[in-house]
Amino acid sequence: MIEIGVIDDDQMLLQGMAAWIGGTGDIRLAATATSVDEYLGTTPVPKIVILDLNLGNYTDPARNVAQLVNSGLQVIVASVIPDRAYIAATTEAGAAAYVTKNNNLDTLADVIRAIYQGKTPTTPEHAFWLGRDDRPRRPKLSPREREILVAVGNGTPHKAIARQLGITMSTVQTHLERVRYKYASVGRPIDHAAHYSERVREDNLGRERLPEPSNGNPHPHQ
Amino acid sequence: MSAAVALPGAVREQTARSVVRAAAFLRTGQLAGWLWVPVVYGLARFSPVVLIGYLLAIAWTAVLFTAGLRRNWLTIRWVRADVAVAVASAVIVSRTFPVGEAASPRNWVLGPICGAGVTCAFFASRWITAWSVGAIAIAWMVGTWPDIRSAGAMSVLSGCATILVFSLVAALAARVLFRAATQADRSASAALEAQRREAMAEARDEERRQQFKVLHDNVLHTLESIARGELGIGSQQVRETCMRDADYLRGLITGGADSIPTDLGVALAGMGRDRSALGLRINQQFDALPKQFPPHVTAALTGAAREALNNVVKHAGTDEAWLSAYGDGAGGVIVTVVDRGRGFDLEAKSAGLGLMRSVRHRVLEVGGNVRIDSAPGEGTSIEMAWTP
Repeated sequence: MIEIGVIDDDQMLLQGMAAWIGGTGDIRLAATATSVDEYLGTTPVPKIVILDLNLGNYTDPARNVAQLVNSGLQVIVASVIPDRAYIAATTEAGAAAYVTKNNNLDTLADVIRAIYQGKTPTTPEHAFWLGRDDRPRRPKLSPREREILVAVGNGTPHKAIARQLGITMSTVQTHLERVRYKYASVGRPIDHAAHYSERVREDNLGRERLPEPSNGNPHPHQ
Repeated sequence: MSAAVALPGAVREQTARSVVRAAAFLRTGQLAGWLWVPVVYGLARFSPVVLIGYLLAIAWTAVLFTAGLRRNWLTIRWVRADVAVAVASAVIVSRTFPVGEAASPRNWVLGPICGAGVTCAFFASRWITAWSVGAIAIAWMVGTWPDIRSAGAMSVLSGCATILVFSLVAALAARVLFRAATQADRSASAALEAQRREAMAEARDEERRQQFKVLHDNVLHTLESIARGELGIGSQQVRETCMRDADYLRGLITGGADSIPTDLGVALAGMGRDRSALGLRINQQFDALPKQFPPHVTAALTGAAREALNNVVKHAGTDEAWLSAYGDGAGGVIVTVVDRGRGFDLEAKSAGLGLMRSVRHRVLEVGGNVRIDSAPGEGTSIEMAWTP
């Protein structure tokens, strides 16, 4: 049995989640929380956690991911509406996967199982938005890596990509892993608040909705 | 906005045309004014240089203003040549007259060289005009200098003054005219811009009304039905409807924080929602679609994507498809429809043929490109690209 946790500000979603996840048979929702701090306070902390991209409490998504990753957790970022810049930033912060919330259970379960086996799955939606990454400081991808990222992002199965490019499926996988590695080791860790504001400057993100927190204290609403 | 707005730059162009005409009339008059002189005094009284010079001046004037009227402007090369002709005629023709006659009405050069100064003032910059008019005045002085000691001395000086005053007045008039024309053009294009903005705002409002209408017809209807208790939220049908509506809404608002719904995005999302009703689960991903996009291309790409998705429903044997669309950053878009179903053999030219025809036809018709890839057991991917 794989135990996971969910961090989401939507109570309705949290309530329905346990039964939904339980439908898989081999995955169990063991903890829920509405904030990262609350989640890290639970015992025991499930090692795989689904994190809402926008928690609605004015915390920064990349920082939330970094905090969880630094606590030794595997983070699956989930969002209702994809936001290109945040998806790239949370990937750099070490998120293991990105999924949209409209995914069916099978897809999510596959992602969870892959992470449980120590893999770094790249879902089509993840590939699509990384392929659309237009930040000035994005990692440098090779043409082949980009090609594969775009193809996966369009929903093309790995088998078809391998055939089109005349490579093996495991090579496709290797390219994807290299892309993820480049993102994760872009040399810009977010370990504490000072790093975070550096990254914001580098990425030149227009953060109107999420003001930059100082000393790790989230700004209260207004 | 009642009156039709002139095209930007139209007033200036019109003014330039009038100025070329005015200069042509002036020069023609200045040359024609001398015609009575040989009649009164007799042709034999004039040296061949004077007469041939006169005919050459007429020929040059004809060439100059034919070129000018053709493009409604005299370029600086023509102006310079005209000034050179004026300087040459002022010196050569005037010098052939006996003392006392060069600065008299018997010499034809004064009128046309004044005209050259005026033309220069109309079409050349301030500095070129100053130098050219100075050169013409000096040429006049050089040509008529022998008369300075005769009774015609005053005519030498008054001729020089005439050249300077005519040109100065012309320069000032040209400045006033062209400034007014530019001003008029600027306000015309400002009005045009305002009109365009108004039209755009209207189109946006219309778009928004359309979206709200769709929201009302679909999403709100679903929500209200649930709220009124008409639909049990546990039922499979309601879950599917909600899923469809959620996908539609997501299609409208993907991308970055800056993205607003675009015509193409709305069209594709709406089309996707309709296909979902056929039991197909469509993963929609739209990003950076161009805000200004030709409506007929929107219709063609949406139609082609609809055909492609219909084909997934009919032939692919799967209930899931991916519909992606993104801008290429240069006004073009790439739309892809991908499934992971049965696929077909591209070489066999059987099952895929109809698909290729219906999709390809629509996209090629608006100048786009289609790439279809498929293999048995590996699904089908169709990429439609359009660039302006």
